[in-house]
Amino acid sequence: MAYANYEDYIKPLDEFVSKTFNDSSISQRDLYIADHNVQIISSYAPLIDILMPSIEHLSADNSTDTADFKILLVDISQTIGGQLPIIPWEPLLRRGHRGIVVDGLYMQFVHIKPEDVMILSVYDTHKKQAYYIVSDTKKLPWYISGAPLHEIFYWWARSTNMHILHCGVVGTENNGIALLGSKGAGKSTMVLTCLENGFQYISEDYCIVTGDESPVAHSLYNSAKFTDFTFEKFPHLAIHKKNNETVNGKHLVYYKDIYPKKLLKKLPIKALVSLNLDINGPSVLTKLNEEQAYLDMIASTTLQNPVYELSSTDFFQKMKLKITAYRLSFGADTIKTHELLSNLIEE
Amino acid sequence: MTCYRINKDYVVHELMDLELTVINLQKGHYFIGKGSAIDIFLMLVDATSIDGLVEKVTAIYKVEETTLRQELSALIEQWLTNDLISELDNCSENTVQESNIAAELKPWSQPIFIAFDDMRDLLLLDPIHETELDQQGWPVEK
Repeated sequence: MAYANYEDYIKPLDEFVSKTFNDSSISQRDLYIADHNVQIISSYAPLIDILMPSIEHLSADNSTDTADFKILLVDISQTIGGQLPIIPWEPLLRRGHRGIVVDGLYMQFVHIKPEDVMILSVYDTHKKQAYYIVSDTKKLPWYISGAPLHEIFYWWARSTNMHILHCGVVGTENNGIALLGSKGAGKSTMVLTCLENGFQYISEDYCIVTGDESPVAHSLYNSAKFTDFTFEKFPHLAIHKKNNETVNGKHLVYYKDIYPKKLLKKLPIKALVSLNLDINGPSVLTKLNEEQAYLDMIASTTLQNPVYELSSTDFFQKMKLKITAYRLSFGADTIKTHELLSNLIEE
Repeated sequence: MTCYRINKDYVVHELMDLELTVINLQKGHYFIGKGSAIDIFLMLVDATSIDGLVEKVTAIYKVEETTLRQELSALIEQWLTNDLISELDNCSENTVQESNIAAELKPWSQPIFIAFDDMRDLLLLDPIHETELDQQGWPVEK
């Protein structure tokens, strides 16, 4: 079997994207993500507008000519001719949402069938440049705005000694704690409880963590999906719902709307806290062994991220040794819970 | 009676696009299940014996018992070898309720369970997807 190689994909795509941008009026946003200058450039303004709300809290203070990482957005329906170039589709279709990697070129093709919209995501590790090509912006489902460009940020992070971790991160000005837990473990409730009691925000669902000796959590999205249970507990937040439709009963909200002054770009991770919601039980914080901390980090992260690579195992095996981990069982006593976390941060 | 159960402490799984992704987090091994392997693996969320599996599988699939037992034996061996499931010496299991027997049995679907070491293996081993190749524009799935 002959493999399609890097050039088979990147040559036609580079030419196509370059021509599209020459023929279009350009919209650009400069961001500062995980200590890197990131540029998002779109050949069609409505596409960048849909993707931005979740990441606009990371807007760079100053625009720069040189970016560490560029993401180019294209809406095929707005291009002259409206056709992608010829590329070898078969490996992409074979792998589906898990994507492929060809000589340092990561790619994923998804066809969202209810809306009949197609998305081709491409990340070139050699150039630190990505393409996000959609068939028609108008057909994109609303939930795309919740974690936009996830697969591209994932590939970029992995090629830069970082990893997307599925966790909430909150903290004070100097230290953060990573709140681990799969769906329903109480991450949203805990993040909100902490913010309502004076903590700052880094993430609710996904952050970028560095592989340094002292890992740092970087903000990625300021979006969250709240259930009706969350709105019952925090009814004053209901005005921030962005959608009437729901996926699995969840509503999209943005923390930039709720707590605009509490959003930070990064915090060192002082502790990992694995959450265990026990609605009728007392709030108790206990030490967690390293192996369990590793499993709690990787279990939900591997299933939430677009692909799984063996190097992820190694990344989190090392991380478990660098940060002390705890298990927090928490119930209705939010004051006690917050006190436990405050003490942990200030220790 | 010997039963088998998924090692829930370090084996995670998720069903996506008619494929079951299974990861052994301790070893960092990654698997894809397709066809009846999906149903059979998920039956081991609760401890189940081979006889229990036969009863449950034949309640939803039209399959000869001899064929099924051979397939189950191979799957169980593969899952034990890869530390995805454990053997339990004593277990109690629920029998299939009459109401859980499908009114119309599905045709037997070959269980496929593939282990991957890295992404290059994924390219080598995944079954071929029929498509219109080498054309301009978005792909057209047949």
